[in-house]
Amino acid sequence: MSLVAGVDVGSTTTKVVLIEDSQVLAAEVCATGANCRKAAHALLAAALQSSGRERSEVRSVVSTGYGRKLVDFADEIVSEITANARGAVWLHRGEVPVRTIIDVGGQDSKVICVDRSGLVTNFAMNDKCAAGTGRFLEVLSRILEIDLDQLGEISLKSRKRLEISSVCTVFAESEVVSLISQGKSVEDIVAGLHKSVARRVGDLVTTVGLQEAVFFDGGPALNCGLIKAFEEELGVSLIVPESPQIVTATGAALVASDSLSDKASRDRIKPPSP
Amino acid sequence: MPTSLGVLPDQQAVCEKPPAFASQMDYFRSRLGADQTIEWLRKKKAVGLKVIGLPGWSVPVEIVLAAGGVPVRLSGIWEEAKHFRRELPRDICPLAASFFLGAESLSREGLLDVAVVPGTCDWKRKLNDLLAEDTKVLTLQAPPSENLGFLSKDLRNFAREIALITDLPVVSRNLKFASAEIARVDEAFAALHRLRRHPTCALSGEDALAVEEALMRDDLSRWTERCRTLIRLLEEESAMTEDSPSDRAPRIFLAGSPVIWDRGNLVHLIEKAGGKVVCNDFHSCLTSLYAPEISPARDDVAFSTLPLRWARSCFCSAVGEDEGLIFRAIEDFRVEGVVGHTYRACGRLQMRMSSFLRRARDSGIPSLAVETEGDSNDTERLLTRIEAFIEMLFARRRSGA
Repeated sequence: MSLVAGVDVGSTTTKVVLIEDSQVLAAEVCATGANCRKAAHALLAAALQSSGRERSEVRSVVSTGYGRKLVDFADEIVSEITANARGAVWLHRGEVPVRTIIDVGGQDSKVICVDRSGLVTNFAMNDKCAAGTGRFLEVLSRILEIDLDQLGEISLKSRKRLEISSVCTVFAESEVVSLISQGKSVEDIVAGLHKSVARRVGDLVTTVGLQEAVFFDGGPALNCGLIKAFEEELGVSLIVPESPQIVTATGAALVASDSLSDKASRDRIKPPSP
Repeated sequence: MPTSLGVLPDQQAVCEKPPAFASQMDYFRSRLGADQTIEWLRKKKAVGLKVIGLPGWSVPVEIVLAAGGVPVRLSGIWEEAKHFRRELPRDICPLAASFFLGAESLSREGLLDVAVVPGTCDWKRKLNDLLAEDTKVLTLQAPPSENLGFLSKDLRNFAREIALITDLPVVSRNLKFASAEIARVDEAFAALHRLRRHPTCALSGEDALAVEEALMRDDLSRWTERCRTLIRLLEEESAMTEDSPSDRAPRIFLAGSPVIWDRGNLVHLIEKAGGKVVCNDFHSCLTSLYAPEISPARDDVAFSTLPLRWARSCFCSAVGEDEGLIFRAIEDFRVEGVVGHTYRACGRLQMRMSSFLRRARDSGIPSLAVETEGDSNDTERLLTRIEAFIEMLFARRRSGA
């Protein structure tokens, strides 16, 4: 029995997942804030408490995400691309294996291609601009004075989706201010914002090539309006897990488990000491 | 400290051990500072020699030598040249800007008699106009064709212009000596790169880049001598090292826009992420490796043979120009992944790069496109991509793909 932890320190939220014997024991999410290290420590403590386990029982911790190098209790670090792919492939065990993964995070969007065995074969990430990321929706929802978690439902009521820049968050912001002053409906503006993110991520998908089944995760995958916009843009149905925010942390925990297994096999084949 | 999956613990232990050739590397790294270049050029000027600023090795350096000039590399001293910076556009090609700022800083020190500048793109042409306000400039067009007669004429004109500056006409005898010197440099350069094909070669990509960048920042004869010593030490080191294929860093080919030493060094980032850059297509690396016949070291050297070398030169990247050489190198150097680098300002190369990387992927070589602005502002984001790529290569190796 090996209890392992995955810690995903994202730009917006930090996630911790505890796994034992291929079962998720606990998953916690909190805002990262200004102190990544503190958030990671607090969240691991919360996950251990909710699962009734002790820190000393955790055999290995793998950290990932933009703050991965700041997690001082991690045994290994791994990029979010490797962790996300591992998590997505493990979480989706459908008949058609996952071949393309779209992960939209707070400041990064990634599209990852995996082969039939779940091995990463190619990936693409957005460049410096926040267009096409969760931050884009966060900034724009503030302008519209709408809670982030309401954007999805609101956009589904749209009758005539508006066109909004997918190139730059700042341009989009001034466009939205202008649309508000023209009296355009909030529903149509929000639908336009989702379309803008979908176009941007669609460009990344084009770069790596689309293959079904397509998995969509990251915090913005909780937004039903965004899922609809992505499906329209890509012309495919998306597989969205129940808790899309914790896919990368789950993958990190699985990498920790893999490392323990690798180490165990290496130890088994070691020649006996003379 | 946690360990990155990109760098295995065994490799980290090896990296911590100082290699035997480190003392030779100290020489090459010491030549990369602007102060050393300035000190060296002051000595040359003090004995009345003329300093000819060049964009790199891909120009007819033998003509400069035959005319008694001192060739100096102008790019790569950006940081030191910052205080001379004029109002340059923000999204400028870093390579063109680096060359421009290097020329401007040396010119203001009174250490540059002429800047030989390539006119291969709009950025360079416009910067040349700007540079020409204060500095003597000779624009050198890219070889327009492999028509040797045409190129020969072009080179004669270039030789005449250089001779006007140095007051020493380029005669056949001098050209022969100069060409022999160039051939010795090319030979050492190629030998060093050939050594990198071996899995046990301890020279990192960053070390190799330092050796390349140090060229034309000191006397060519001294550089050649140091390079030969380095090669000997590396051969000895390599013979004593046992190869451990599963643990060694994934072998990377770096293609595209040349990396500028002091401007967000991509080679450093790739190796920090656990990869090893074993070959690149800038600084005429591939030309020196695969076309030794174009070095005019023969006795009959003259303007009729020089164009052969000149015709194969490239200022920026071989991507799109001679992809055949890149694919040959990928095979020879047992490359496991290709990183295609473009500067954001170079739309022309970006278009070529995407099709080149697609061809690499189609032939079974994983590839990663990296776009930079040639600075260190985007390091962490870039590092994430590179680390993911290196992890992908390790996973691929483990799976036997």
